[in-house]
Amino acid sequence: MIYLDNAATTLPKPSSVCRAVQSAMIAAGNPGRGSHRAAASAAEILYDAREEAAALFGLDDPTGVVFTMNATHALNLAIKSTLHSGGHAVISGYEHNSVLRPLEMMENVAYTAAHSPLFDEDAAFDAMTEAVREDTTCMICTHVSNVFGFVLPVMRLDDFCAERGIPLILDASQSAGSLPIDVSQFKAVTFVCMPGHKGLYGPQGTGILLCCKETELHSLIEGGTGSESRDPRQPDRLPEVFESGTANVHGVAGLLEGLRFVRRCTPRAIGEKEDALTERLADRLDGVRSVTVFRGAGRHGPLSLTSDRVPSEELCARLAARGFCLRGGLHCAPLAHESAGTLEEGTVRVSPGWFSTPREIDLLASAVREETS
Amino acid sequence: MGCLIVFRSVTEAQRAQRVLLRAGVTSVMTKPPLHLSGGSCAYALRVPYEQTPPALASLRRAGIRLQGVYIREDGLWREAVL
Repeated sequence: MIYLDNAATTLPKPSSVCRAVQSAMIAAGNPGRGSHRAAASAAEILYDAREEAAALFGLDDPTGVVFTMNATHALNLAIKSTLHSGGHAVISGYEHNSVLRPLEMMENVAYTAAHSPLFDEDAAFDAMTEAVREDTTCMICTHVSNVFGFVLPVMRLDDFCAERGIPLILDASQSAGSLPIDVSQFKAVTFVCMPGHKGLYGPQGTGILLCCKETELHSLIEGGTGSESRDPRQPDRLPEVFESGTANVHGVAGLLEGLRFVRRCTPRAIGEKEDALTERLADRLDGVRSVTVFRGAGRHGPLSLTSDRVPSEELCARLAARGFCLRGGLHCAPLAHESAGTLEEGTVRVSPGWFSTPREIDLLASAVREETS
Repeated sequence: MGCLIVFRSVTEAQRAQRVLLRAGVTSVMTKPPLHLSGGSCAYALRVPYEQTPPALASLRRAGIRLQGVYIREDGLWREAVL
């Protein structure tokens, strides 16, 4: 098996991650629910992971690190808290359904998807800023397109939003762990949402919401938080306001080791390795007339390709039969395909990770050539 | 016996404990008696008497909110006048 679907979830996980999950399943109790050793051990795991995430992303206060089920959960918390009283949101033309669908479901919320051409940073900035209205309540932007690896102009949008007092929600699903992110540099970003199981090399079922600025917070679900038990109302402070019910301590134990792994390797080195591998593939496929590779300036992470001879899903299936793990289709991001003009056929997405090798890329290039010739 | 600094949650107590550790103050985390917890699932840090003033100063500097500070006298916990 040659695994090149790390944009869906990184595989394999570092061995330290696997060991940590197993240890937690033996020793960790329920955090915040007692003073015995097992509960204390679980609480230590959670707080260590909060500190590790805060250090990796430049957040001063570790209590601003909220553990979620995944990036979708984090985005739902951020979006529904920010737009609790309704309003208008501007989103990029490259957002995932985890942004689009919550907005569609919310009453009293309107949104504008700002479409722009692929790999044109200036056009993306212009489209998003021109879509801002008098009543715009927030802006939501993916850092990196999960389909094409297009890096959106986040710092410029942050400046723009700061000047106008508009909160910015950042979806870092494809950048956390593979691009340096320092939230202390942001002026308008209130929330950063990310999965734990992709670039942070943690287990599935983990995610992180970074709460970067003091803002009004509204819970998504309510329940036991291990604090203020006599009060029937949900606590309004972090992290409890967003963390009801028993935490996924086993998952966070693995995520803690994933965060340590990323800090040791450094996001910059991980990202550079991934990008060198995707550029290698693009070079190997350069000149194959039946294949279109979507590459451009400022690309990072996943690389998409299409063939005019074999539909994307079929090409993906043929490659899967030869042992290549890739993803074909729309990648839960119809907006991105609409922006790039690939909505009808979708794309084949190739996403290497830290454990991928140049040889695997070369084998894939040969297979794509054969299947599309 | 020391001083008992009470926080509203385990996370706040953990945050405080790390702040104290960096300030060179040793503390032990514990569950306070129910009547000191304000009816909540509070957690507390037990700090030696002599280290209580610098501990409280460090917590204040870090912006950490306390639920209460208690001193053991005659076998009873009494709220400290700060």
